[in-house]
Amino acid sequence: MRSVFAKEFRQNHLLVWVGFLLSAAIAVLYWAWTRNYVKTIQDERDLNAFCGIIVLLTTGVVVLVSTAGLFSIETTRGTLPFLLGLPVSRARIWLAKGLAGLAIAISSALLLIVPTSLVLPQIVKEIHFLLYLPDIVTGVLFLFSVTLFCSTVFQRVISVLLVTVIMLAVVLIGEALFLNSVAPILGYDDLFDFTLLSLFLVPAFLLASLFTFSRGELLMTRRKWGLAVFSLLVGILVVGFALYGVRSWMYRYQRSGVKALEAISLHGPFARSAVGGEPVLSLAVAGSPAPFQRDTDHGWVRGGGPYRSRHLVVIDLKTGREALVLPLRKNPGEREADASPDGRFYAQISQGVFGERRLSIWDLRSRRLVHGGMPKRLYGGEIYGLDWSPKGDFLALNVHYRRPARANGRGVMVDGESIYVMRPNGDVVKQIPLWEATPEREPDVYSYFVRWTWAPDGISLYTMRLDGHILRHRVSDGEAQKVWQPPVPDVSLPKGYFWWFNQLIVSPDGRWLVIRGVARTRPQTESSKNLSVTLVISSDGSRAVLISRDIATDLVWSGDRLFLTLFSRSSLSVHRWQPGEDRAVPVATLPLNPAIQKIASLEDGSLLIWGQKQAYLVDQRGKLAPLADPRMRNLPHDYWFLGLDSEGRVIAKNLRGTEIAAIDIKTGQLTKLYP
Amino acid sequence: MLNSIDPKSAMPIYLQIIGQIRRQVAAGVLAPGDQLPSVRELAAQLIINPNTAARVYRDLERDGLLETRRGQGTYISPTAAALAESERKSLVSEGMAEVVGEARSLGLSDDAILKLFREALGRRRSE
Amino acid sequence: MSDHGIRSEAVTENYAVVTHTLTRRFGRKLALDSVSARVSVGSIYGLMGPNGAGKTTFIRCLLNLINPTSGSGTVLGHDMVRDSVAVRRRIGHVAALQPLWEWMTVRELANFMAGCYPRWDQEAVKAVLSPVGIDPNDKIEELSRGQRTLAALAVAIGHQPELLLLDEALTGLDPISRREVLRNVIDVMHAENRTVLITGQDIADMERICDHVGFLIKGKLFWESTLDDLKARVKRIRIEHPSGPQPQVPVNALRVERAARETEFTVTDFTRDLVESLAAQGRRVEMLDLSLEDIFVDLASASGGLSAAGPSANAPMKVSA
Repeated sequence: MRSVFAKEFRQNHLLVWVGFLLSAAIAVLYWAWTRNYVKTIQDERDLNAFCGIIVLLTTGVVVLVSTAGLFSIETTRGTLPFLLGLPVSRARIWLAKGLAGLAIAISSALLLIVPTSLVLPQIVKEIHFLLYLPDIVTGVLFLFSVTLFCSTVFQRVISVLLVTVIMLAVVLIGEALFLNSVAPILGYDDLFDFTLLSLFLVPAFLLASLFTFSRGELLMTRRKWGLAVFSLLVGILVVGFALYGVRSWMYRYQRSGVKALEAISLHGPFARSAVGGEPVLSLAVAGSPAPFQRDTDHGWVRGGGPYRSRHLVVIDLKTGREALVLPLRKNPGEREADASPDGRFYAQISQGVFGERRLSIWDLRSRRLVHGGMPKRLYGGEIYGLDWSPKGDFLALNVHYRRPARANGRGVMVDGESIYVMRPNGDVVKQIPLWEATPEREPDVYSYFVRWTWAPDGISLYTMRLDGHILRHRVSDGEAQKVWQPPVPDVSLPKGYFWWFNQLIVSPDGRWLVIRGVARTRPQTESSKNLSVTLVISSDGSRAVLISRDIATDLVWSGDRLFLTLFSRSSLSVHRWQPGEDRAVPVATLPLNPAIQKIASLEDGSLLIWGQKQAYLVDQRGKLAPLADPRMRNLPHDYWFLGLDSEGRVIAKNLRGTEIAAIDIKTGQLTKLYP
Repeated sequence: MLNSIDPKSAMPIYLQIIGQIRRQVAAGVLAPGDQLPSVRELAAQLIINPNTAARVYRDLERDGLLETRRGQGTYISPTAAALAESERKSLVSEGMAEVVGEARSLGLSDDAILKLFREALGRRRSE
Repeated sequence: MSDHGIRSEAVTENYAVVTHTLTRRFGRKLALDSVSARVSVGSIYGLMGPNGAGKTTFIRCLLNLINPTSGSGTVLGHDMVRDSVAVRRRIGHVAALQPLWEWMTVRELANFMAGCYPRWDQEAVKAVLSPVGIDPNDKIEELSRGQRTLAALAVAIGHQPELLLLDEALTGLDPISRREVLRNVIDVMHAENRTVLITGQDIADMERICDHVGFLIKGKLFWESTLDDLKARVKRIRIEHPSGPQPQVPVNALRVERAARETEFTVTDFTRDLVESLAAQGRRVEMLDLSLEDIFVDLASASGGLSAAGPSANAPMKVSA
């Protein structure tokens, strides 16, 4: 057997040289083609992906070409009868050739790292590249096993190459489709899972190859072909079914056994769903029966397990039907999603394979994806802060980008962030620059954290920097209007202090802006003095009223009135401001115990305060009353406020997150909505 | 000493070789004491089955024409000379018997046959 | 004629190859049809037959390059399917125009083979190569056809195989190479218990060196005996009948040729009694010896008429040396 093994190395492997040259050529061509793009890569995940592709291309080609001739060349040259006439069992011959082929393939692949490194210096410096080594190794093994199998079955090297490439294309396309459609449901979400899948297929191909060679006849009779293909198909089917079965069993999506619900958004009176004219509620539904984990940061309960199978379900509140079911990615904490106020569209930001963010926009009526969805980088950076305009015409989100630029004659990368305003089909109609960091100019720290919000007219946005500079941007115009900036009236800022404004809310009629901020000594430290302000500013910026110096926990507009909840040592008081007044006046006081979960304004101008134990109502005149019905008393204890529907019912979910209910606050009646 | 054999001939190969060796002994080409090639060499030279070669030597040894000296080889035996004369005669008489049989089958009478023999003898002497 | 059944006497004999109703089918074509052959140890067995008779298929079955459809066989005592590796360890084979690895030198080929067998005699290999001037450093692609066959033969005998298979090895060789191949084959026989099985259509050469013969036609082995026996039993009879009726020829006579005053036919069961019985009718009877080629042609032409059912009543049995 050793003779057979050694012979493979001494054999005049023209194919290996061809493979080498071809791979080197491909590497050089690919590098030349993407040279400019490479320079722009800063994100190491992108870099890893790029290097991975180069390495896969080069090593893949050399493995493919050098392995293709392993068995088929003996048939082509006619030396197979001589080889099989030796006193070595066929299994041993197969093993000797297979090992030699593998050694040649791996050593050629390793040798290619050297010229590839010269072409891509980043590879040498990039340590994280090694993290992809397992994937590359399994990729090489997979390629080797497929080629080995084809080499055993087919007689001519050309046929082997052709069939192998076709088979690989089929497998890759299948895997890509699998990734996009089936995988998220089953929980496959990154390259590691593909590696596992490939690892299962490798022994299938190897065994099929061994079986074909040992059992087959001297020449490729039809029976041997049939045997080979049949054994492979059986192997793949068995492996595939086993895998599918295991996965399905582990991560089955049980409709009846919904384990954890988390509301992402609820659309109140503005929303008119296309599905039934009723507001829709979007929920995240976890289907994994695995044990729960309490997420202390977000306060909700979610299913555990290594691969979380999550779905986004858009539910029609009137019928309780699922209007749309979308698979979700991992890391639900990073994901955002929102339906447009008119209920026509649904936008979702998800995290992709290499951690890049994807924006997907669905048309709820046709249930089709109208923008995004494919795993390609959009906008070149991170995206977050999704917000639909109140009329539903536009969608705005933060985009953190990098772009190449030239400075001092050198190519550099420039960081920046903008607000992108786009139509539901993804067309960007306006970019509002927030900050940009170039080598010459560092943006000032205040512009790094910009709060922004839509105005109720649906065609303009307000942005507020950390230092309180407020601008108004019209979607149609180019220029931004200055609205307001400090100094804050009636307050003098002590020396060494600066303002830190962190909240901006527009009134529903669009006439007023309320902002809230604190004074701080330096960035990154807590305020030394308790200096907190709440200001109401007219939308044209002409008037600014300091309505409170206390720390308000919540600000809620109801009509043209603003309600503030303020903590004091022993109680929680509700304050109210109206246009014309110069400060917010207390209207109601609650005991401190019932922690406020949510304050919502009702259509009649009253205020609903949903505590964790009890609910309260503050009427138009400001009188506080707990909700009379005894049933209502305890509901907040068991139900988490999500929002109000068009009939003024409270939509809530139970604490365990396993059901959604509608509560009529007047009668206290609870109606289970979902599931 | 290389003899040619006709594998197609009616006569088996071993008999052909035996005949050739006998003729050579009778003619004095092979004298007593001459060494013959070994079985292996004979088979290789003539490209015949070694069994056949072995059979040749076995038969000749049985007839007393050859002797095998252990560790030394095969030689024409001393008695071969004595056999030579009887060999000659037996070879010729065999041939004569064949001719007579052939002539008779063609319908010649004995007298006619004798006449032909005499003619042949006469021819011989004048050469 | 050969018999198609298994003879129990076989176990007492010493055979290098024994097959029992070996059959091999390729799709609809029957390449080997219930072949029961016996090759005695120490013999040179010539398996003759026209193209496509199944000779190469037979050899391939012995080497287990292909599996028989049915039937079985043993080579040097090993089952040829189950112990095929053990079989190949003790036999060597040379096939006609067998492609070798062109890039190898003769030395490399020898070393390669040496690594596959338990014992190796490099001197024996050289003894085959040097008389024809093949340098071990020559690449196989540089060798002529005759030299290639000799090189293949050289490495085939390097491990001192007890059975040597030559499959049409003499085809297309120049006379010198052919002679060299035969010379080396005969040299192999010098050692104890060596057997050679040679297939082909070079009947003249086989006539020289074979002591056993087998005829394979259309997959059937319809004759197997020693060469002497074959020649003794298959003879041509000529009966002259210048006047009188045409004589009756035996039932199983082959290639019957009738002329006005003489009739010739070939018999496969010749005995002196037959001649005498024919001559008793007052006619002149002559027996003619046939060359192996003539015998082969006569038997081949008649094989189509032979039934596979079994030997005829007065047919002689298979004989071993």
